Amino acid sequence: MGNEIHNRIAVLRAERGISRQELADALGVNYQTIGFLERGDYNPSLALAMDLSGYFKLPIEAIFSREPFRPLSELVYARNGSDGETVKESK
Amino acid sequence: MIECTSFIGIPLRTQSQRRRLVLGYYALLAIFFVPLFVLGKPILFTLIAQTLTLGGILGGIRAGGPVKPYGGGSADHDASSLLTLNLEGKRRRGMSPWLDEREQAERDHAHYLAYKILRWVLGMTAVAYLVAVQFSKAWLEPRASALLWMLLVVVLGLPQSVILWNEAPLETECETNLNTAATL
Repeated sequence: MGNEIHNRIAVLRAERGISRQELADALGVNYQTIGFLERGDYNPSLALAMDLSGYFKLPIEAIFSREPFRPLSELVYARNGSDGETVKESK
Repeated sequence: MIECTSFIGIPLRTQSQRRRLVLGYYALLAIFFVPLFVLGKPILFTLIAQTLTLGGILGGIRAGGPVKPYGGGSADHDASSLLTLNLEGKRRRGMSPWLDEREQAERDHAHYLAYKILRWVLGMTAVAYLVAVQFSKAWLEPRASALLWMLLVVVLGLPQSVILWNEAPLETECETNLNTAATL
């Protein structure tokens, strides 16, 4: 396994309707850094990851993963599927 | 790491524009250096003035250039090791008030790359000097200070040049929104 870490920052930010600048200001980083994080070009320190977790009020594993995230639409559809089964996100 | 989108009228938005600035900087350096080296009569005051101007013109070591200042000082290093223990569990920000953690990593990487380049530059210059001194010591001696000046300015400006050369294109908030839409 390489050094790759996947994240949902772009999705979470879009969901909440906040700009990169607003998120950057809240975290005390440059707004370009948010872009680097979203593109996966930069892996944050534990401190910054915890700041993001605190900002979005989500556990770190909901934002970051060593495995690629499944699309949210797929997860939502699976949860609300016709069979009524709740499908857990595979790790 | 880039402070502004233009510098003395030169746009710096794209990587190619920043690379042109770097090439222009070294062309300017050559324009100053060649007459000094050929004439072999550098004036100390002029050398100091040129070093201060050209060494810091790209920023980094001082504010005002296109590259953000590297550091800003912190009292943490002056304190004893006992005082620097993080007993409160309170998180410290990085050492620089100007740069966030990604920019600090970028700054450190740029200095590493600059060091790798300087190894060759200094090594080749030293070898060339030692060889030249065997053949024409009298000709080379008055030019040694110009050579040292050139090396000093290169040392001062190289990390900033590396940053300007390698920095990815800057994104505006408008482009950011488009990218986010594309991601979703």
